[in-house]
Amino acid sequence: MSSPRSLPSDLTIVSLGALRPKWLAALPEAAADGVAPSAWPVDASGVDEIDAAGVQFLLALSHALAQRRQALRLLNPSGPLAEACDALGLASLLASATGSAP
Amino acid sequence: MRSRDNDTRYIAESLPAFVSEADEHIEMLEQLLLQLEGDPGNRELLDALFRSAHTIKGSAGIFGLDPIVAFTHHIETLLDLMRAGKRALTPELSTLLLRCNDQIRVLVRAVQGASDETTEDDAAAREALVSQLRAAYGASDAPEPAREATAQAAAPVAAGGRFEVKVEFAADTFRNGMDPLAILTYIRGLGTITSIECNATAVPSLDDLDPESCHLGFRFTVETDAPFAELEGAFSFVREDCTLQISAPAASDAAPHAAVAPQVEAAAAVESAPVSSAPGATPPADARRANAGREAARAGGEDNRFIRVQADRLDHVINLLGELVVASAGASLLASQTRHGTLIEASQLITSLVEEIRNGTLQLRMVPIGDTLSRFRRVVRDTAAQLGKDIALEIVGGEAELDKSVVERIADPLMHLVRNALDHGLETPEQRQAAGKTPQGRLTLSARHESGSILILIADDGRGIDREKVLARAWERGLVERGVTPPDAEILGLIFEPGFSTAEKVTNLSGRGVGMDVVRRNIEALRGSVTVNSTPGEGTRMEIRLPLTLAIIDGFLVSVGTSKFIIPLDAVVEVIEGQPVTAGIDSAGRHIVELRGQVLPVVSLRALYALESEPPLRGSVVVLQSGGRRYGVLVDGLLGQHQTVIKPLGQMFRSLRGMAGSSILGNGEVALIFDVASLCQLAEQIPAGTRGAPRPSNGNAPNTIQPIATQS
Repeated sequence: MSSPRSLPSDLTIVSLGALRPKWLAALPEAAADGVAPSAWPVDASGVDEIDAAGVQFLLALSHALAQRRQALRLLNPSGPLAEACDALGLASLLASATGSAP
Repeated sequence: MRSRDNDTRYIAESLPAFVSEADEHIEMLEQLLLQLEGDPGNRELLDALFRSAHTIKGSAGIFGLDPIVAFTHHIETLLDLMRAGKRALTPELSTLLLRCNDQIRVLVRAVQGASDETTEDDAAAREALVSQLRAAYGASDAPEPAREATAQAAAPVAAGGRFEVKVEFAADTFRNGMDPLAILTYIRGLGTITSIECNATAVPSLDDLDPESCHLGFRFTVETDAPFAELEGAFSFVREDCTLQISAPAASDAAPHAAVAPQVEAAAAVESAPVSSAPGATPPADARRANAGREAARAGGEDNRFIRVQADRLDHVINLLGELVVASAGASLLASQTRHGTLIEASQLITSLVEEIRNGTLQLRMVPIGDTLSRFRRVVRDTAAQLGKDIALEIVGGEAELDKSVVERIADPLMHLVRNALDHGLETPEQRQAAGKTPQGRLTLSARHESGSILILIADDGRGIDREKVLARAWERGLVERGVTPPDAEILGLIFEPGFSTAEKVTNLSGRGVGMDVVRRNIEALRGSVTVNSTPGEGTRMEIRLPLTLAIIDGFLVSVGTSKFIIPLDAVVEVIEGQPVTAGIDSAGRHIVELRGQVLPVVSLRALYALESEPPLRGSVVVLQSGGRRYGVLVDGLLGQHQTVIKPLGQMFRSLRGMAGSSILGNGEVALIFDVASLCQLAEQIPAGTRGAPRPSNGNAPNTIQPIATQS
């Protein structure tokens, strides 16, 4: 398992354009068929500012990982991130991550 | 919401403006639809149609009138497809849209009544229309079936409760600086979001994501005390950028039971819409929105050329103006008595300025009659269809202007006459062909100015009025003594008698015989008159003559003895001076003058009104024109042009024939104003020796009337 990546403090639409190529590059290779999906941890404790676009970014990241048979795991979600996910009905984004934690 | 009191006050103050604007647009929608029927491909008409619908929807949105917004939205969707060339205006669609327009009118009326006056019938009718509209535009072509569930729910149930909200944000939401998170946080402040579900399926993988495009959709339930409008208001900034659907409190007692079921249906139908939308068939949403924005901007530009003024304010100015005219006449009279040249000049200048102001101000109240006439397109269309008749309506001279108050009050009588022509006058295509006419009947509405009044004609080329039937009915009803046959013109006049109807069978359109006398009464109340001409087999022609304004006229002041009279200047053709005052006059005050080889009937006011004063040796004949006829009025003196502020005659003198009103002169004297048309009838009709003076119509007053001109 690679070392946890960290989400930046600013996860709003302003910074997402620059973030996307960076995170795309960091995405793992697709796991081989038949292999159980593994968790792909991301440190989410540093998120200070987030908007709906930021949450959508995380959803897209999670979809991209799913295609590669990986599961996004947000570690230690910060207050703002947790609130945003909660407000948008996406608590599962955090719950599934923490729930699948070993 | 943040300042609810201010909002409420603003809405209360501005609502009348909204209603009157909406009325205009509703009227325009109808006219445009009817015009489009004759010219289905006309792009300009279609654009204007869309604009009108869009404006109604937009303004209703500002006032939070959600039922109107939701309902109009469907119409707009269909019109948009028509503009895109994806739907053609079939007669069925046109009928559907006209009926929808009627429902918008009902909704606007309900707003005006400041209550939910729309009945369940109306709601059901709207529901049916919405399904028809939906069928017409087809779910697959309608990418934004927004907020229909609000239609029935919002009006009757404004209170809070549990709302189901479904919202899909458009791709541009983020780019437009909007954050769904902020909106949801705001809604959390309004109440409790009991459940929320994010639809993330539309969010692409990071590989394909444009982080600035929004792909989010939510479905949530909120429990709140806030009214529906406030909840919807939360989305006001993203209204153009989202598909919003709010279902009102389902478990509210206030909601009429009947309204709940169709609501659920509507919601169900909506949901299927976006799912089945085929990408190819969907017009680019962005382009549509940009378009709508442009239209709105253009409509706004047009509006800027007008200022809406409350009628009350205008009336107040006109009343003051009346006083000003009288005062200025008094001042100029005094000035002329001083024989002070400069003073007279100054007062003349004031008089001419006052006159200009008067004309300008009265012009403010003038509206073209065309709007009223074109309203009948719809009546003719629907009624003809109902009666199985084929009728072409022609409107001529709609640009003729007259006072708004007259226009408003003439609409009902006109409606009755038009329906009468459609129902009784014009025949079915078979009957017409049997009579050797074209299958299509023709109804003409025309208006034109004629000597200070407006002449409205309602002419049809139908079967005409059957004089024998009229006479038989008049005998039967005791309107005419059995066996007596009055002159032709009088027989036709009988149709205006109370309780008269010649229709063999009563239809629900025009005929229980209750109308024509009311028609005449209403027209006469406007100082107008109505006459009928008819040629059997060729058609009927109704002529309505109305004064242009009820306020101020240019008058010609004349005197008989010490009495002063005013003749509307427009009716004066010429003046013959130096006429003998007594010679050859019969007891009714009539005689004949030869004018350039033509015989001119002349009526002597002195004899007609039994004025007691010593006649001068020579008087003047004022030649007047009324309708197509000319006649003279014999007077003692000519006092010249006079700006005349019309005051109504008191109850006592209402019945005085030949008079239209009174006016106060500059020196405080009262002058009576002639009604040229009825004076003409007097000049022509009084049988010699039978009546000394025109009788009041109630018949029990003394048969000579002392003029009141000098009594004040």
